[in-house]
Order: sequence, then C-alpha cells, then structure tokens
Amino acid sequence: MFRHTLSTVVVVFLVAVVGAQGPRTISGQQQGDLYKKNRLVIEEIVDRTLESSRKPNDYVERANTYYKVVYKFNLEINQARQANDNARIEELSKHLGTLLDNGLAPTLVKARGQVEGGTGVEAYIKVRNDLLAQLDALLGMLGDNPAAKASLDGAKKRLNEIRTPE
Amino acid sequence: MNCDTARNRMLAVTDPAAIPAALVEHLEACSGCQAWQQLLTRIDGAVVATGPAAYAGKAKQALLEKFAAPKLVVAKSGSGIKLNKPAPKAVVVVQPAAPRRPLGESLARFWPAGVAAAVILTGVLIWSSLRNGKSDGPTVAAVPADPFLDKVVTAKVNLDRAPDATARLNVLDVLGSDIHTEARTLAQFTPGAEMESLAAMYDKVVGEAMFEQARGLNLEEKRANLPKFIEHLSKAEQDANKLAADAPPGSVQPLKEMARSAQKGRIALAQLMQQGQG
Repeated sequence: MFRHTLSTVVVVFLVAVVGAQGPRTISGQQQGDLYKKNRLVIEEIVDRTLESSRKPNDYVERANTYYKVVYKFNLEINQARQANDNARIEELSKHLGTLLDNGLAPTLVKARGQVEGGTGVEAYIKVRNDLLAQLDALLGMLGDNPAAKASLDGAKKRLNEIRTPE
Repeated sequence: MNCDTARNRMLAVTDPAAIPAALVEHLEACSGCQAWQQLLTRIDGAVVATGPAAYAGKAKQALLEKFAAPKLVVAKSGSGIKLNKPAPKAVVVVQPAAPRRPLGESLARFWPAGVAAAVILTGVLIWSSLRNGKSDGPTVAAVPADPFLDKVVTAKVNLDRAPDATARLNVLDVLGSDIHTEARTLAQFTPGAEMESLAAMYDKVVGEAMFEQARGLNLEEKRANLPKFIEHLSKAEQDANKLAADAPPGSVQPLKEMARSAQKGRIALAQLMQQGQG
C-alpha cells in the first residue's frame, strides 16, 4: 500500500514539475535581433499573403505568389550558407517546406482544377515550371546541408506529383 | 479472476458441486470453466461410486513387509557370509514450483530503484529550470527560432487554405494582432527602421486588406463577424496610443501610425456594416 501511494505521489509531483516548465521564451532584445535578421523575408511573406487575399478565385495567380517567396528564401538561405549559419539554414528550410507542402501544393491542385478543360493551361504550366526551377536552384545550393536538402527534396517531389493538365 | 485461478480453486474445494460465492460470477460468464466444473463433479461422483478393487489378499501384506524394519543379519565370524556395504541412495529432492507472481508484484520489488530514478529526474529538472533562469547571460550561444516568422508563415498557409471571405478575414485579423504584438515588444528594443517596417505592414493588413475582404461578405455575414473585428481594432488602437506615450523616440511615430491604421480599419468596417443595414 505504501509503495503504491509513494509511486502515485512521485508521479503526480513529476507531472506538476514538468507541466510547470512552459515553453522556452526569448527576451525582447533577442526578438528584436531576430526581426532585424528576418525582416526582408517576413515582409515578403506578408506582401504575398495580401496579394493572395486579393485574388481569392484565381488559383494560378495565388500559386504564383509563392514564386517571390521561394526566391526570397533562396537569397536568405544563400546568405546563411555563406555565413556558415546552419541553424538558420535549417530554420528557413523548415518554414519553406511548410509553405510548399501546406500552402503551395493545395493551391496548385486547385489551380490545375481551375484550368483543366478551359483556358489558362499555359499560365499554369509556366507558374509550375518557374516554381520548380526556383526550387531546383535552391536544392543545388543545399548540397552541403543534407538535412535541409532532404526536407525540401520531399516537398519538391510532392509538387512534381501534381500533374500538368492534358 | 482468470480461468486458471478459478479452476485451481474448484480443485481445492472438497465438493466441486458446492461453488464458492467468489467463483459464481466467473462461472456464469465462462463456458469453459462451466464444462470444467461439470467434469470435476462427474469425476468426484465416479470416485465415490467406484468400490475398491478386488485383490488376492497377499498384495497388501507384501507391500507392508517392504516398509517394515529390515531384518538384522548378524554375520558370525567364520560363517563365510559377506555383507555388502549399502550403496548410498541418490536423494532426489523435489521442490514445488514457486508460485507465479503477477508482473506488478515483480516490478514492485524494484521500487527503491524507481525512487532513485525519480530523485535523479527531479534533480535534473530543477537544475535545468535554474539554468533557464540565467538564459540572459552572455554564455547562451544558440539563436532561438523566430516565433514571429513562424506566425507569418502560418498566416500565408492559412490564408491560401481559407475557403471563403470570412475565413480570410479571420486570418488577417490574427495576422494584424501578431504584428501588433511584435511591435509592442520591439518598441522598447529596436526603435527606428524595424518599428517603421511593422507599422507599414500593419497598415496594409488592418487598414486595407481586412476592408477588402469585408466587402465580399453578405449582410448576414457582416452582422455576424464585423463587430468582433471592430472591437479588436478598437482595443489595438487604444493600446498603440498608450504605448506611444511611453515609447522611446524611434518608436513613437510608428506606434501612432499603427493606432491610426487600426482606427482607419475600424471606421471602414463600421461604415460597411451601416451600409449593409441601410
């Protein structure tokens, strides 16, 4: 009986301690430094988000908003590479992977549906090819960072699986 | 209670037909044990009904003689009788199998190790908490991930997945709030270009884009959604004005601009609602 009670008390105590840890926070100064560092890429994402909101029914154009985002990520990742800042390369690659998988891929699927059997196929093909070319350029840069390359390789493969309309 | 336990207990009672109360519930639910109990009852009845086997009369006597004290043979000197030394008999000790302990019982024997592990874990957690408290020191080398970048990426993804104007308005409302929160923190630490950048972004989101989306709502949707956004913008406006009063010089103007953007967005949404009602 004592052992069971003791075990329960210990478990409850540990759960309370671990639960009280909370997420690790960053200081205001660190937050400011991060904004300085990421400002250009953040501004680009916000601008393209607003551009996308203005074209709710044109999925080809919405997919195209990702071109400038990918381009900006390319520039930032290249700078991080030159500075040997692997943590930044991985952080940016992770975010780009999220954008490609969760934002671009579903938008591209809708864009394909939009142009299938109608006009705009050429525009769709151009947008898709430009995006893939931009991604290829990025993947070429990431040869010395296998983790980041692997995550973006997966995203590119999934984009490639979205077929071009006949 | 499992079947093994139930059957062992049935074997232990003198009369298998008389089921102990503790077994009744299991027996009612378990057809296998019911058959087992019926078999036991039949065997018990058969043993009672079977009489002792007939025997010739000498077997019992012979058996008893085997266990009787051995006859002492005294060898007289010169008799020529040789006595063999009795060979030592191999003694086989049969030990009953140890009763099986449940897994919990077995594990419970290691409770001192568990307590020691818990103490070590607690120590590590406390040590880690104390170190976190010193995270502002110059020894911290790793740069943490940027939570604001994460929020902006999420906004882009959510907006492209939003099914209608109401959902897009919600995404923009959250994005505006995230920019405002970022500015709240940065006002004290990075006045100047960073604050101006945030103020410009904020204006695009709450002063323009939200209004554009709200125009796409029908009257019912406007009534249902716009008051919430107007209230958010009203609070943001007051907050930005309050912050501007105590901000360092490079943050005052951007904060005032943010307050004006929130006011512009709030008024535009309120007018949309009035037009819809008129």
